[in-house]
Amino acid sequence: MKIKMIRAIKVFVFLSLFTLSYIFCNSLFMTKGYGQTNLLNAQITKNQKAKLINGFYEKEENTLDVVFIGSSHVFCDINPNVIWNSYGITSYDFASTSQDIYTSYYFLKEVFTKQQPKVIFIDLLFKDDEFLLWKPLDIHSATDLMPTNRNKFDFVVNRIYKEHWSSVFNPLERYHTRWKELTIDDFTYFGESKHDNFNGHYAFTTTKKWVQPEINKVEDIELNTDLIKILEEIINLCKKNNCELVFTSLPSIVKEKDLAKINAYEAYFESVEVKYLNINEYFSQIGLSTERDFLDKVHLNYRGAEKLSNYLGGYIKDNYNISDKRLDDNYEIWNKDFQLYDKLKKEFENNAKQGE
Amino acid sequence: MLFNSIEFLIFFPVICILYFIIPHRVRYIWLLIASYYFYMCWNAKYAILLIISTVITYLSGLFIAKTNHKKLCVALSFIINLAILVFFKYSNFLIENINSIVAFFGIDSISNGFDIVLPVGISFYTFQALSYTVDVYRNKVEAQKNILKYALFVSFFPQLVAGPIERSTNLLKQVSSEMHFFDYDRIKDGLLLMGWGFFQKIVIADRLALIVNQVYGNYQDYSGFALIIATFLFSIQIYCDFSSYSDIAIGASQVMGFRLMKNFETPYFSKSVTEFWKRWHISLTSWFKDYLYIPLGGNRKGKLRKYINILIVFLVSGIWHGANWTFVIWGALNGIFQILEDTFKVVSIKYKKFHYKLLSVIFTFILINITWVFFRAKSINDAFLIIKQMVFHLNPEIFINGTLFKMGMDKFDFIVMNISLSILLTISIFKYKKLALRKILSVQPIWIRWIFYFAIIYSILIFGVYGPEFENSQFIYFQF
Repeated sequence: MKIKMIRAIKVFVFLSLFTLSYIFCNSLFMTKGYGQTNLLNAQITKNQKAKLINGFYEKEENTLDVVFIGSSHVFCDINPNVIWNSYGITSYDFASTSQDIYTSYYFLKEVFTKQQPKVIFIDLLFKDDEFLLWKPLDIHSATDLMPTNRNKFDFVVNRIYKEHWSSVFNPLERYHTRWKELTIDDFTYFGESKHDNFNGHYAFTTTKKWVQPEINKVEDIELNTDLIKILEEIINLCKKNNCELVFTSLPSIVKEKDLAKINAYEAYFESVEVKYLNINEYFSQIGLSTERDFLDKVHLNYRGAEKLSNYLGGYIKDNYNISDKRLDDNYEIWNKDFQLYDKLKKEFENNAKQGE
Repeated sequence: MLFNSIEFLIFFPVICILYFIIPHRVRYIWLLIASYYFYMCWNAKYAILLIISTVITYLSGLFIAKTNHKKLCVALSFIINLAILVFFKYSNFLIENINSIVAFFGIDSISNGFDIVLPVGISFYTFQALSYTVDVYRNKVEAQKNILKYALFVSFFPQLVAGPIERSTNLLKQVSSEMHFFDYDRIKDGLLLMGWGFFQKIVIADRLALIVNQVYGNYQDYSGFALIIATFLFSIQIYCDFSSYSDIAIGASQVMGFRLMKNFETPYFSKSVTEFWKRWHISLTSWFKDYLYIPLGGNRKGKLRKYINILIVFLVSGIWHGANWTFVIWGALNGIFQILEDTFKVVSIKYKKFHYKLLSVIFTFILINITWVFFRAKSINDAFLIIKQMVFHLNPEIFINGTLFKMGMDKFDFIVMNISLSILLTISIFKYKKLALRKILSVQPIWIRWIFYFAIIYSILIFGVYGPEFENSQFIYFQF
């Protein structure tokens, strides 16, 4: 009997050690950043992808006034630190690479489990979103850092091809080949704080010059039924949570097909009386220059993001009743975040000047 | 379902846990259900063929025991089962060859062939079922009256799809009358053997496939040493692939308390091709010996007849492996090498010095590698072109000009491959010297054992060739 007890304990300890080491390995091998160095965030950590998501969940409950949801357009173009510094409004870029509208719906549901924002901004992509995800890159971009909860389960079961389910709940299956490319950042990740000083923003420092092409003819297109259905669900969910909703098309070098989509969005949102901001119409008002403020065709750099964020902050202040909390001691961390951002920005600009 | 899949990692513990909980009397029914479920995950419809083979051979056993027309029963059992096997495996091959022959005479092709999917494991379970017919005829085993127990013998999931091809005297007896108990040490040992099998398959065999598939798939772009290296790696790949399946089968059976026969015994350390065939795919070689070679007369009818019998056995073995002339040539070469060895009395040489033993091992390995070229190549023409390149276009510069890393594998995988091959060689030498490695490990202190277990598990999880980056790899022998 004693031997059986000892053996049972041994098996239990072995399985526990294995489970813990397995969870550790899953996090170790997962990509937590994109290895980019042309952004201010890289001064703090290269694990930006993980920081963004972890940083949202780290926030105290019910402290965010505004949440921005969408793809990399959101986290490149909008700087919550600047919105805070100029208007005392707290916000966060809760977004992921190539995030489509169906994933945004999932993110929206997650927001309401932890926060009671007054306004939600959801950015819309120009491309048609596929309901079923089959590319490993898209699947993992969306699911890698989702907390394991009912919401994630529903997301996976409804949207992802069955063959990929195991790699969603077991990311090691996809990432184990990274043994060839593990870096020190993969290990230091475990010692990093979950707080994101950039509040979800990626402050890119490089610039590419563009010229907005002339667009002559734009076709009429219709939004497909799946898209309309999910937009309705999003609108209803926000209503249920007493939250204002604004859809956006963030700045990009617009092509004919994009403009056709914008027109279709405008028509649809007018018909359902929901706000839609096509930022591409306000370049001069915002002061955006296609020569200085763009990282690439569809993303702004840190300069463009500051201008756009100031504009959005003003828009929020003018349209919604949100208090200015800059003098509230409970929000001191936001001041610290802005100061850190400002410091890194000034260092970068000084170095750039010296380099000239 | 494949052994190297998440489904199996869930299926197997569930089957085993319930196996030890339910009463002994109904355990075989549980295993029968599990085995058919396992098989039907491949293709549910083909379970019908498995059932037909099972019923025919089951009935043959009963009739042989009762009637006086015993030989007729054996003949019918063989004819029906082999007819099914030939239809599903060789129809298109036969039609292609008939078409070629009639085309020679200017006649149109007789048929365009059928769209037939090869039922997984059909070559294996058909042979296993037929062996029962003969064993009953020879009074080696009593006819089994319980059809469900007999069905389990034919369909036992660990060895159903790629062997070892079991005998009724071994497995049927265990399935029908043995009681199995939960034995901690036996189960640990079985799991360790399965772990080694998974390592061989997922880390070694599938990694070697990266080079072998690249080079053999584009052999015109490679010459001399690249082809030699790819062939050498294929010989290791097919060994690891096949013996890993057998190890997982044997280990899985052992967990439940069953003992399957050994299928491989460090075959590449053989000093002759004759010895190789006593150490490679032992269950198939012994099947052919007992059910084809000996009925043909074996070596009891003179030397010439013996050589003819060897050649027949290996031609049949060749075609058993696949519906292509390359396999027939492969079989023929193996037969011819053994005949030559017998003529020159190679097998009875007693090697006193180690370096003579080593030379004969290397020479045998080279001969086997030549036969593997035919086994792996898509056609006889390809095989001859490859051999021609190996002989006439040796290019030693590939060892220094970086070509080694353009054969389908990068530097990192190359290093892992070399380390894992060294591990394989070390373990094989221990096995050859009859050192029971798992027993040695089991008496080490707990921290050494646990480091070992974690090392095996994590080297499979991290260095394994699996996941979205790689195609899902089948065991090579599934095509048979």
